[in-house]
Amino acid sequence: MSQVPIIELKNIRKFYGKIEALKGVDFLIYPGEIVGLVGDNGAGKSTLVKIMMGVFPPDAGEIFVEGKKVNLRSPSESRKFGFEPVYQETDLISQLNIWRNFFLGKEITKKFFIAKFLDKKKMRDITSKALDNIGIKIKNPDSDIMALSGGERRSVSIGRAWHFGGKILILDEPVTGLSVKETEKVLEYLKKIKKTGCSVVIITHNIYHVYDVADRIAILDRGTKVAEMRKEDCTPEEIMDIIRGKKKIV
Amino acid sequence: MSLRIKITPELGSLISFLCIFIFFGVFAPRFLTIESIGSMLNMAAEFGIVVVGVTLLMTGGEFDLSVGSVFALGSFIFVSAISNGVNPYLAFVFVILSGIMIGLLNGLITVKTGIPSFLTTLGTMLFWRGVMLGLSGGQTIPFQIKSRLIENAGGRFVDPFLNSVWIFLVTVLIFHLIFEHSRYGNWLRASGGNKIVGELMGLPVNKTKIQAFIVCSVLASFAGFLDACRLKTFNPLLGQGMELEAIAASVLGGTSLLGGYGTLIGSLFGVLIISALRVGLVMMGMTVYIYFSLVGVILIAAILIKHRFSVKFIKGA
Ligand SMILES: Nc1ncnc2c1ncn2[C@@H]1O[C@H](COP(=O)(O)OP(=O)(O)O)[C@@H](O)[C@H]1O
Ligand SMILES: [Mg+2]
Repeated sequence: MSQVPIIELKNIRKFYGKIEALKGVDFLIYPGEIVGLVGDNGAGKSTLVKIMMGVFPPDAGEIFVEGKKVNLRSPSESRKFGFEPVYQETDLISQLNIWRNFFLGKEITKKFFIAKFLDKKKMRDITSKALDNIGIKIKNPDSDIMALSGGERRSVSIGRAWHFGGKILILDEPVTGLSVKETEKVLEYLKKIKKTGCSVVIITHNIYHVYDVADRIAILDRGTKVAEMRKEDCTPEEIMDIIRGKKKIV
Repeated sequence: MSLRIKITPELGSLISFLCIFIFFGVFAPRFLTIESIGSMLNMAAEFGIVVVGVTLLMTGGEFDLSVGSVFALGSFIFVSAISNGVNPYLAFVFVILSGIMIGLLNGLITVKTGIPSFLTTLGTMLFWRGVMLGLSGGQTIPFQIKSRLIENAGGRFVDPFLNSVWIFLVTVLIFHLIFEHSRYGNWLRASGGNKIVGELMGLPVNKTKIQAFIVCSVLASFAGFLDACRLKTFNPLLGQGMELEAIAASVLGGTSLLGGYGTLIGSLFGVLIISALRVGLVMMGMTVYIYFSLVGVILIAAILIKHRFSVKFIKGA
C-alpha cells in the first residue's frame, strides 16, 4: 500500500510502575483495512488501544496521524480525529438510557435564545437508525441500558463507534464473553462496517474470531510485537502457535 | 415484564408526599388552609434552594457536607458587610463570590487529591464554621438597615408566601432544565454514574464535578443571604445539621447516594415532605422533637421500598 497510514505509532513504550507493558511497539493502520491485533492476556493490547485513544500518553515513542506528528492528550482529541473505541471493559453507563449513552460527549443541541438544549428527538431518531443500520433491533432508545443483554449492550457500543468513527474503529475484545450466536452477529457487523471503507482494529486473544474478516494480523507478546503478516501468508494454526510461543518467528 | 409502569423514584416521592399531605389534611385541623400551606412553602424555600445544589452534586457522585456552614457564612458575610456600611448590592456580590470560592476549593481539593468529598467537605464544614464563629465572636448580629434589596429578598409580594418561595421554584425549574435538557446534565449524570467510562468517552469529568461543587456552594450561600434578609439578623448556629437534612430530602426525592441519578422534581417533593412533616406535626399538637425521628423512619422506609422496586425491576426486565 502506498497510502499514508491514518495512524502510525513508532517505538511506543509504556510503564505501569515497574511493569513495562509495551516495550517499543510499532503499529500502523491504513485506510479501509481490517487489522487483527492478537496476543495472550497481558500482552499489552488494551494498553495500546488506550494510547491510541488518548486515555494516557506513552512514556516514549511517537504518534503520527495522517503523516503529522501529534500528541493525543485526551480521548476527546482522539475522537475528534475520527477514532472510536469499544473498550474491553464496559463503556456504557448503566444510569443513562440508550440514546444518552449513544451520544455521550457528542450530544446534539439546538439553540433556544441564549441556551443550548439537547435535541432529544433527533438523537433518539439517529440512535434508532444507526442501530438499525447495523442490524440491531432496539425497540425504544429510551430503554435502560441495564435492560439489555450483554450482547445487545456490546452491539450498542459497536453501533455507536461505527456511527461516530469516520476513520478508525478500535474494538477491544468485542466478542469476549458473548454467546456463539452473539459472536456471529458481531462478526456480521464487522463485515458490514468493512464495506463502508472505515478501518477497523479488532483486538482479541482468539485468532479464530478475526481470521475471517482481517486483512492483516499483528501479534503482541508480553509488550513486544513478535510478528505481523498479511492474512494470506499464514494459517490460523500458525498464528496460534506463535501466540503460544511454540513457533519461532521467521 | 408484564406490567410496564415504571415507578421512577421521583414518582415515588410524589406519592409519599401526597400520602403525608392527605394524612395531615385529615388528622391535623387547619392543615388545609392557605396559611398553613404558606408556612409549609415558606419553610421549604431556603432549605430547598440548598437541596437543589446538594442534588446536583450527589447526581455527580459527590457530597457536600459544608452547605450548612456555607449557608451561615453567606448570612454572616452579608450582615457584617452591610453593618459596616457596605452597599447591600455589593454585599450580595461578596456573598456570591464567597460561594464560588468555597465551591471551587471543595471541588479542587476533592478532584486533585482524590480524597472522598464526604471527607473534604466534612473538613471545610468545620473550617468555615470555625472561621465564622471566630469572626463573629459567637454573637448574633441584628441589623436595621433598610434597602430595596433586603425588602425584596426577605419580604412577600403575595401573602402568605415569602418571595423566596418563588425564587425556590424558579431555581428548581432552571436546574430541572439543566438536568434534563442540557449537555451538562448528561455529563453530570455520567460523571456520577461511572467516572472512568465518562473519561474514556472524553468527558471533562473533573471540570464537570468542580462546576457542580461551585453551584452547590453558591446556592447555599445565596440561601443564607435570603435568610439574613428575612430574619434581619445573623445567628452563628444557623444551618447546623442542614447538610444531613438536605441529603435526606434529596434521597427522599429519589437521588441515588451512589451518584448517577437524581431529579429536581423528586427533590422538590423531598423538600415538601420534610416541611409538611414539620408544619403538620406542630398542627397536630405534637412536640417538634418527634419530627426528627419521623424523618428518619420515613427515610429508611423510602429506601427500602425503592430497593424492593428496583430489584424487581431488574429481575423482571
Ligand atoms: N492500570 C494498570 N496498572 C498496572 N498494570 C497494568 C494496568 N493495566 C495493565 N497492566 C499490566 O500491563 C500489562 C498489559 O496489560 P493489557 O494492556 O491490559 O494487556 P491485554 O489487553 O493484552 O490483556 C499486563 O501485565 C497488565 O497486568
Ligand atoms: Mg485487554
